[in-house]
Amino acid sequence: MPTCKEVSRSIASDELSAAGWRQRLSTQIHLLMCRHCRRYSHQIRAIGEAARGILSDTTPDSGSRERLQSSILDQISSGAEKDSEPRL
Amino acid sequence: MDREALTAVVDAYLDQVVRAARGAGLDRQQAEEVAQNTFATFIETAPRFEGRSHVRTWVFGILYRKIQEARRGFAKDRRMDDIDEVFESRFDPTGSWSRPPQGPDDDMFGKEARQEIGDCLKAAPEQQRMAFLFREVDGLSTQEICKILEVSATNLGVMLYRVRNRLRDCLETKWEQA
Repeated sequence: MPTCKEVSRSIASDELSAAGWRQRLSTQIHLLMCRHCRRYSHQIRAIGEAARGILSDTTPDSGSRERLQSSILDQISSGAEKDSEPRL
Repeated sequence: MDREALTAVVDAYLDQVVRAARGAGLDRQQAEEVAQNTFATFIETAPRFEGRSHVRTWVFGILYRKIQEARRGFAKDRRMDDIDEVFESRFDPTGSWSRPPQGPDDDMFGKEARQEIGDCLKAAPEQQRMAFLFREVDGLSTQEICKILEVSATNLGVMLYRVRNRLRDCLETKWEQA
């Protein structure tokens, strides 16, 4: 049976997704029995959700998106013109 | 890549790139500047892109370097990290919690995390923060993140473990002070 330290480390490092079934199962059993590790695991998940939550507000609004996109696309056009210039 | 393909890439990734730059702690204007520079480099280097990796990996790799460039005095992640000691100190010698995680109940923790996580993210080291955001917000695979940050899978695991503990610790401290 893994220790609390091993369980919390494997959760926070995403190690479990790549682990074998034995490690995954023993971790699940540990979590069923240990409320501290369960709480830790919930908190780690909630932190990811919180980050997704706050960053969904930073998508550029349609006005600034349009402005930004057209200035980037201008670069494509000017780059294409440069390429088509005859080489001397 | 022809013009149409380039345009499609810009259209597909513009929002994500701006969001990732904001997530890295840049303000709106800086983030838009970084997005412009990222796509400028992408357009410039597109002829060399031979489909060796996913186009998104390529774009995010450029973005990551542009963010680093944008922020002067970027210090490479230290090999030793004081969060390791903080984590170790929570356990007794047998590996059981000696100081278990604190904080409000699960639902309340989520609410408080949303309010405070911005500040906690700002305080995290650059590379760890980007690893965390690429994983949690952009949902990139381990393989992709490793290519973008130029680290091994083991390194990435250590970074994620450090940044998540750092964020958890930061939230816990804020909660204890409140």
